[in-house]
Amino acid sequence: MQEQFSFPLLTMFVFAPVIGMAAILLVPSKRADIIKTVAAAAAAVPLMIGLYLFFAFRDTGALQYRENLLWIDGLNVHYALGIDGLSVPMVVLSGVVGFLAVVASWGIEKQIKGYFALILMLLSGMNGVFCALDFFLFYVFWEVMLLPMYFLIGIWGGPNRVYAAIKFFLYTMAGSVLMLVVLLATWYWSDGSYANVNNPAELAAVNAAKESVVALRAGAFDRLAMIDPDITRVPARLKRAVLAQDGVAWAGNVDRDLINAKDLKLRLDNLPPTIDGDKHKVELEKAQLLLTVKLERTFSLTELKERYLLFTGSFKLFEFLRPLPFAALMFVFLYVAFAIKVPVFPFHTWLPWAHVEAPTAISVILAGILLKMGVYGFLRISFGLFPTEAVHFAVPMAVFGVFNILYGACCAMAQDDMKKLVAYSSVSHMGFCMLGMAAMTTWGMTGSVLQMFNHGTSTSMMFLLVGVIYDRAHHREINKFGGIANQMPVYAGMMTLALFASMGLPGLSGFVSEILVFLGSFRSDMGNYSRPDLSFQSMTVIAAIGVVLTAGYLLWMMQRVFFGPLNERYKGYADMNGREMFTLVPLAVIVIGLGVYPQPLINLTKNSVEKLQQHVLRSNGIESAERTLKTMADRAAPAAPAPLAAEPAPAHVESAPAPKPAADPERTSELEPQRGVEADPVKAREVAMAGEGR
Amino acid sequence: MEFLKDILPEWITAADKFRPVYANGLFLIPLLPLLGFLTNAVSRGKLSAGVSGAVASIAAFLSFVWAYLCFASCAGPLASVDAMGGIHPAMKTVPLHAVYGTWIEAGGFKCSFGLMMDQLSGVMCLVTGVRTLIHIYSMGYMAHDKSVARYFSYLNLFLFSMLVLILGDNLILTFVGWEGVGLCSYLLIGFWYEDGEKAAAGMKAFVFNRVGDLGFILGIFTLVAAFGTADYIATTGKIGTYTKPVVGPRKVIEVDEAAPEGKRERLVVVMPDHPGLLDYAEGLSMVSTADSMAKLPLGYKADRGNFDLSGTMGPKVFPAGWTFKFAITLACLMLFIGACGKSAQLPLYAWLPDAMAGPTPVSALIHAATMVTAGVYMVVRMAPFYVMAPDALEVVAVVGACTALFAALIGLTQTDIKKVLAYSTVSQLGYMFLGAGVGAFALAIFHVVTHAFFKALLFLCSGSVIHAMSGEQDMTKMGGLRKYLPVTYWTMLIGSIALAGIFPFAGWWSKDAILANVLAKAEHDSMYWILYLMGCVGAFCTAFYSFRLIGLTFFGECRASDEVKHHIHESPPSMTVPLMVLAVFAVISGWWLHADLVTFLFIGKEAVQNAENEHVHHLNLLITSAAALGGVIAACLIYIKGGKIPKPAQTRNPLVRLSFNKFYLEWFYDHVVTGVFAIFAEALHLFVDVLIIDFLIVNGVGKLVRGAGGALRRTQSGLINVYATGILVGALVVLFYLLRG
Repeated sequence: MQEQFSFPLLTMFVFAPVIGMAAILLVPSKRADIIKTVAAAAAAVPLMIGLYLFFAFRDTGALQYRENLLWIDGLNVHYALGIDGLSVPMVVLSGVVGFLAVVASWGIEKQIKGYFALILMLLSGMNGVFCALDFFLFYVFWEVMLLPMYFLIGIWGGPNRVYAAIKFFLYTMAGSVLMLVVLLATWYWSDGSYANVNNPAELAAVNAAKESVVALRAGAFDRLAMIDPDITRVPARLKRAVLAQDGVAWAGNVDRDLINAKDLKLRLDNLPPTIDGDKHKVELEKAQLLLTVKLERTFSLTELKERYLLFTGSFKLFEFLRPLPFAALMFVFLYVAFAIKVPVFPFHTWLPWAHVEAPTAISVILAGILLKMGVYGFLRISFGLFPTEAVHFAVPMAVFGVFNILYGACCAMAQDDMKKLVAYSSVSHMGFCMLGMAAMTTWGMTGSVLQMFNHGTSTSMMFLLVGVIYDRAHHREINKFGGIANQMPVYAGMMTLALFASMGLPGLSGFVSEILVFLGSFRSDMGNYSRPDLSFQSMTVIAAIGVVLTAGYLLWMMQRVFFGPLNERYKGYADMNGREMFTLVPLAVIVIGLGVYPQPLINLTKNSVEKLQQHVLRSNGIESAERTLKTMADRAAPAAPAPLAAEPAPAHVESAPAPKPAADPERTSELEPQRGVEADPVKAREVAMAGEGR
Repeated sequence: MEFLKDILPEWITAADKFRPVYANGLFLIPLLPLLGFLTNAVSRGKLSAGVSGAVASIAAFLSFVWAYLCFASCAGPLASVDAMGGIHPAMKTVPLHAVYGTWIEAGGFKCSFGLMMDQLSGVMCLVTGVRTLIHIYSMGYMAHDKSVARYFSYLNLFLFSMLVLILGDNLILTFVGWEGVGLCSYLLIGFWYEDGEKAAAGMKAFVFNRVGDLGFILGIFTLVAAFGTADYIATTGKIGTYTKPVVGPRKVIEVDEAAPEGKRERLVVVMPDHPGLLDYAEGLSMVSTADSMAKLPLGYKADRGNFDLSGTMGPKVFPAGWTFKFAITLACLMLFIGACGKSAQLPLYAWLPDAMAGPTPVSALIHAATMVTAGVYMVVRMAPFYVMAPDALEVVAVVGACTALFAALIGLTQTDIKKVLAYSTVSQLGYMFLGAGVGAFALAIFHVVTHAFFKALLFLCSGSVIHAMSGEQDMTKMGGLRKYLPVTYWTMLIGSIALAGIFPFAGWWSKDAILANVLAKAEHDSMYWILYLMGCVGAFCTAFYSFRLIGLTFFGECRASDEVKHHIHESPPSMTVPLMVLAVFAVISGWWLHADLVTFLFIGKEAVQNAENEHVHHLNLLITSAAALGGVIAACLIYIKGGKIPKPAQTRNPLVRLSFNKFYLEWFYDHVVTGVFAIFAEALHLFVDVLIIDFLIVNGVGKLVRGAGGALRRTQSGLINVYATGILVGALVVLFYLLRG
């Protein structure tokens, strides 16, 4: 039971930057060097933890490193942290990019103290979002991150900084308000009080939720009983730790509820399969037993995910409006909240402004980490809490994803400002995440998570590189450059690497995620379950055009900035210095490393992705298309032709003619003799010819 | 191809005991150039020009030697089939195969780092062997350039990518190499990037290739969606699953004289001793030969491929009505788009002529001998699929023939020496696809091999000429170089004869055989008459422009300025020796390989090059020889005897203008397509993003709120009488409402 006292790794991960911020506030503002060192040290802690997790984390599909403390008693709000395969890549990314962004801020000269304090606070907020397992806590971190970002853009930004900062703030606030509605509504709904118990399906949902709660509590009881059979004597600290490990959200009298739950679980387990030969009576009996259980309202994301069946019924926004289906409405609200962050067309116009005006390091954080919070939110919250709606809205989400890819690329082509171009390329690339996610195949969803990570690194590189040239030339007008490659060869080389990574060149990281997204969406069958009925194949084909457009705008930028005769103005510019190399080389190593050997990152996430996919599909009663494929692949792997006839695959093939199955006598008669073609080739030929004649 | 083995000492090839060594050592072939690349890249120009050139050349040479050893060990029949026993039977077909690990694995999809060398990839590897010569040539050609190390690092990176493309054992790995060579081509075309136009040519090449790559990846998606894997062996094996009666055991037609009329032909099943991967294709094409004899269109048309895919590949993945055959046809067409991009076929050919902006050895290596043949390689590699998709093959043939003629017509009037060769490359690639399109996959590869020799030779000769002329590429400003550059003259003449297709030089053997196959096909399908005619006209044009080039460059008076004339000199030995070596190959390679190569690629292929073609061969020989000789004589009369200096830019002749301006297709791409797209992007951004979303909606809402706030603020005037009026009005309204209610 030693692990229950384990080091609060995630708390360190989230709060180390805030501690650094507090330390900075104590340092006199004149001591810039101390401030910077402290900031770097504080940002290094999440980096170390991120790297540690990259190597040590084994994705089982379950949440790990959990911490759970009751925070607000009456509302059942918990301080719950934990990570699984969905969050670990983001945790690693956040650690790396956050640290590099702090280092990249070394050249800041205006109000150093405030800047570094705010950037550390920003890091804490983002780290918190990726670790929070409580919806309330998630929301708090989400909002905490907003404030420093506003000031960082608004004070340290370019000429239009105030406009950009306000725009960013209002946009995101608009999304946050909708998320707040969902937060409150799901809390109210989570105890089943809005479920219609006269409806058997909804009653079953309530009972299922209750059962899962009972099972969780009984499990916690068992573990506590291993420490001391009389669980009331277990020290409170230990109790908290055990409850945290099981992810049991808690309020009220712990011991009494645990003992009751254990008792109830035993009685439920001991129910016979039938009573008087009637299964229905067992259900009734079970319902009777569960009547005594009262569901607590909860913000816990894990429990809300278990109780997704409770999010039924309808919701009336205003008296004069038709009542809307609750789950769909909530999904749409969340969609808007997260889509603003991603950003998805048409909620994207804050992004170019924020990027262009923000200082380099903030652009890096913005593109490298912040945008991923949106996609992460989709996966963690939207898909978890509203799996049925996720399937219903798969096609619209994918359509917006595809539109993002093409629209972002077209807009990027029209830009004259390097930063704006990179910003629009982010819009385009995040579309891949949307497409892969909506495809709901493991390939697509894995690709989506990978794309988040890979886009984070390659775009961070690009922003850092744009910062490098901006520091020298003090402008970013693409058309005013020319021939820089001659003057700054290392810089040009790095930029080439970043551009090709972003373009998805094989051997660099972007390729793996793009190809997985495309493969996943090309083989997705979500088109059949979602409205409007669009096939994912056609959407993939359209999205793939983005590959050409991306090459177009990136190379065109390259052409105008780096090639051609050297513009005299830029003669004598120094190539990249040590600090700039220090920020870029690690990213370059990641980009190449994960392009050549992406498996560590895939392993980090694939089980959790598969689990989420199963959660979504199973709640819709869909069998995963890939499962079928897997069994097919297994069947075909040892495909020695000799036992082929005995194999189910050809039989499957033969019985599969969709319009008219075995009813077509001509067909069956034609297929039959083909097996014996070696024995009687002449006959087979005749048959083949007959088939031709038809 | 046993002679490859014979020149090696017995102890190297004697036993199968070295097979595992060669198989597991395949990775060395691409690794050596990679190491060369890293050495030159990391040294960052600190090595002297000679050293970095030597490093690159040695890396290329060692890689070639190792590839040769591996290849020679698998040339010829295996000593024992059991050596590879116990694996998938299709595996037997791959003489050397090694899997080094998993690259991507997610949710049942697996892509491994695996290299394989079979007959096809072995031959391609050896073709890439021209590289060593080009490396050596480059050491002389680039000696005075300031960034030699960068040049050689790109060259080695290119070799690495090309070898990955050829040796990769799955489509995804091939795609890695495919994009890699595209990248290197981009970097090398724009090698002198201070010249904005050259850099732009690189960009153009990359973007055109990307359009092709789009097709390529869509083809991969279709195949992966249908098969669950992109592995060559596994997918080919699966075709076997679906078409089991056809593949595997091969069928030969036997005529039974005793049988009653109409039933004399019959299929006899022959079990191959050691089937090659391509034998699947052959097995299928044999059936198609049988079909075509029965006046049926080429290919596998029996109903077996027509089952509905939507039921087989997991629930509802494919739209209803997608049959297996449809999926294969779609995949093949998509992959062919990729091949069009890489191998510069219509309509994606336009990048290749511009790619001549790069250093000349690069034009020889990348844009003539190796990279551009990647598309042909891929189509041949996918032959088992193409023969299942006769419609796709038809498209391949038509595109190939059109490109062959189209580019040859353009080549007639060009005045830039490298542009002539560039269009000639496009045209020759068209012949290769024409060959593949009529099912003569082995001949397509044969033409790849011979073309690699003589086209590399021609490019290197033109490089020598340009070198001597102080960078001048315009043929109208050359002339009479015969006396100054004797070695270059003779070698280039040999190359031109080979290109023109004069017996017994290399080009004749392969081109003639391809056209013979088209003619044989034409007996069953009249469409192929047109293709054959196009091929013959193309052959005439080829002969004409190659001797026009010789005439303008080497004969007549020297038209260069005195200053240039003063500098004319024969190139150093590091440049002329590769020329001579290549010239030898340009003479003998066709005769040398024609008997072996085809049978080597497709074991027992003689049966398919069937005897019925005897008269076809004679007819074809007559026609193509007449075309080639006619072209040569016409060019000699006009340009050598007549001494005509063309001025296509000033001519009024509309046909010449059309040809000189490349039928205005490139103008259309450069101005109309890009222009329209740039305007579209700009308009989209300005109209949708800036105007509608940002200005009207987002800021509009903001302004509305502010405006409303401003209006309401007026009511807070602080004047007591205004408030009193408000209260009064409010009270009246409430009163009215209550009284009404």
